[in-house]
Amino acid sequence: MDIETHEETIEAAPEDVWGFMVDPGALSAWFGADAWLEPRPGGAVRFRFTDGIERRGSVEEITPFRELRWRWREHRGAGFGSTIGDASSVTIELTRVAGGTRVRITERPAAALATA
Amino acid sequence: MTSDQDAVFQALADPTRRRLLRTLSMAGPSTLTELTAGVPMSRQAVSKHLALLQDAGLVVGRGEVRGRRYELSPAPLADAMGWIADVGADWDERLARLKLHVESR
Repeated sequence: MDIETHEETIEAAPEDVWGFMVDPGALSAWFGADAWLEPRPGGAVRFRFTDGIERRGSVEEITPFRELRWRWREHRGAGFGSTIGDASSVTIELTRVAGGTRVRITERPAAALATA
Repeated sequence: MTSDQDAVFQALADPTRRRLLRTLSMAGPSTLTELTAGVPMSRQAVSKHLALLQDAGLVVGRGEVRGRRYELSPAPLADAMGWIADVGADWDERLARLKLHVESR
């Protein structure tokens, strides 16, 4: 099945855009969430959104200035009555284009990847 | 995303099952014999795929085992599409915000 990919061209070099993806402070500003990302394969990924919902996971692939992929799942509440969502995989690809960087983001349910 | 949706996405990840869904949507309720006709696959294999589609809630079987007719149950599909649309709206918004942040540095 086709899963929508989101794209935007940003008037800045890939290096500048990359800096936003791997710096927790910049990432927090970007997502409007308390964000933490350890930029190495297997590194921890954590977003705490303003509504209290958390998304946690780990980095799956990282190619500096080109591609970042992580897997995460939603965590709501804590202890008894807390719920954990299914995993999905987020890929951010950067491509240098005339006048800036094309950013392409794809999020797919991990279940769709497992047997695809 | 709920684990029900997990089952739906898992069901949709396979081309044979997607073809079965397409056939059911075009031909309407069909028997296993009808669904196996024209498919290079054994009855058992098709039956297994149908079981998985039923577990995901995408297909409902009606009638006695003999001559049972299978039909599409589109609600879980609509829910799954809703999930994709919600996630999509989030990413469109985040991309716009990233552009704003990076370009205003």
